[in-house]
Amino acid sequence: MKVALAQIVPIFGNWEASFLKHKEYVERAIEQKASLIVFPEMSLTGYNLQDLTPEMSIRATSEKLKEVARQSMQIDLVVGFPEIDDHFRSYISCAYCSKGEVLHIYRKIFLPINGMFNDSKDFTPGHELLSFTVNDFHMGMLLCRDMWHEEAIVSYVKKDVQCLLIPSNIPLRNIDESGPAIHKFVERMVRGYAERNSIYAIYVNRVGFEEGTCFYGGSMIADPFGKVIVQAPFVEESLVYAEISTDVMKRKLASFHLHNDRRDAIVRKAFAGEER
Amino acid sequence: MNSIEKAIELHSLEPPFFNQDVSFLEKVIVQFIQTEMEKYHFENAAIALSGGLDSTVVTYLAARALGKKRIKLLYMPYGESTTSLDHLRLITTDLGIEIETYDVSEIADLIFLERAIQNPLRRGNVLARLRMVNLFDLSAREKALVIGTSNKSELLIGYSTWYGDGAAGIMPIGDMYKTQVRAMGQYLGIPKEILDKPPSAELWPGQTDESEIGIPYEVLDRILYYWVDMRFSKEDILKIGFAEEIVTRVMKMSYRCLYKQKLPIVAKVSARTVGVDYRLSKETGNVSS
Repeated sequence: MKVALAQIVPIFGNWEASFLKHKEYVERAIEQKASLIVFPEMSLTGYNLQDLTPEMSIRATSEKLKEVARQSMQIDLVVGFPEIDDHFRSYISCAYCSKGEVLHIYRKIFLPINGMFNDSKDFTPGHELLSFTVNDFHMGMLLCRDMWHEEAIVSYVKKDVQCLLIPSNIPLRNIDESGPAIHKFVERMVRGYAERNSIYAIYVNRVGFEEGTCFYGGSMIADPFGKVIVQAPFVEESLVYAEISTDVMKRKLASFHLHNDRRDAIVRKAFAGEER
Repeated sequence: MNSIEKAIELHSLEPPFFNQDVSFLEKVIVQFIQTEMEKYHFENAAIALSGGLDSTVVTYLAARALGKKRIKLLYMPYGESTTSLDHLRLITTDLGIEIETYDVSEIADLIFLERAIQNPLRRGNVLARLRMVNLFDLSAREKALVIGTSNKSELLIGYSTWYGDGAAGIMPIGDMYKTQVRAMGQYLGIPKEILDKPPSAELWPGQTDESEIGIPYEVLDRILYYWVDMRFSKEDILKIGFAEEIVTRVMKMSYRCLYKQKLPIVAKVSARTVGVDYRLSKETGNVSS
């Protein structure tokens, strides 16, 4: 299965212009015979909407999102957008679209509010993980900060997820001797999750600036051996591709297999009565 | 190696920007300038070039971002400063950009005389604000966005004139310590004479930043880094070995200038307030429903 990582600059506060850019990337990925194209978090609007959030948020059933989904006749799409529900609560969501339809909506669970982040000021947290099967793969969705939280990863592993999809908006902070310092942390995580659990992890970050904040890119796929099989450049729009295959998982699992040793009861026992 | 350097090495406390990928940093700043110029639909960029390190580095970065034709440079001397003139020629020749000169001496002296201003600080502020007036006039004439040249060290300790040299549309090096600006200058290949000369606001003859602030930039930047970026307490910073008198001075300077680091604070009396929560999409000037 060929996967395309669309590392774009969303046009801030402009759904139409961002959508046009999505269409262009989708066409290019179709030409390259990709089966799935993943866009970053909030790819249709930009990220830090602040008090534009209510105006920019759309319903998951809206014509606008259906129009985006219609681009998925020949290729599956993951797109990011601010969603509003019947009670006018906004969520940082992403949609999985296939065969012209919106198949799944995932709402970001962990909303950062530390330092430069404001997610939980404007958005309501989601509360459900989302896994589903595409072709041969059982996929699990995470949005950006979600990936830092072990409970999400552990839960997906328990659900036998074989591929994590992680659209993100990670900003640049410090720059060290090899570029964006935060990327080392992200890469260790993405590769670590993939290697330790013998799964794929697909991380798609955006690029471009919002009010002086730079999003650094560096999108990548880590394979079940923890190897980065494709990486997009830092701070440049790009469309990169890689093949993911259950055969690779099979090879990895032949030499390193944790599945039969899992003891879910230990977790249940450790946290009994301590739900949060 | 002195004891501070030893402590820094021992505890792996060297600021990462002392050894950072400057080519990556340059790419980020160049993109930032391009993004902001595009967003606000400005044709040109206006820079007050003094021949010092900061304005030289900003000029080189802006030239890389926008091309030399879109850069409008203004030199505004006060009194005699022959070294600056020589250094300006090195820059303009190297980049192939013309520079306009406006001598602020006459009008400044008039103000100094009429308002009986002797105090060097007040004189310096008047000069910085006279330069601002002329730079913004150039900005109106050339449809140019004013590119500020303040760096993080001076923003944090308030070593700039509010609405003088601190007045700008964007500040590309505003999150770079002076030490980083110097490394950037080296990377960009700015003239050696400019890299080597002691930083000076040239507010009066013979003035240098480090003598006026009383702390070398390498020390100042480290203290600021530990305190601001790393959130060390004063005690933690003293443990590294810095003199208490210096650390206290840096902190005092930083606290004293907090008002300068923000746009004027608006008293919020409505639902959507400029500078507080109101936000419009600048890319389009409109918002889709």
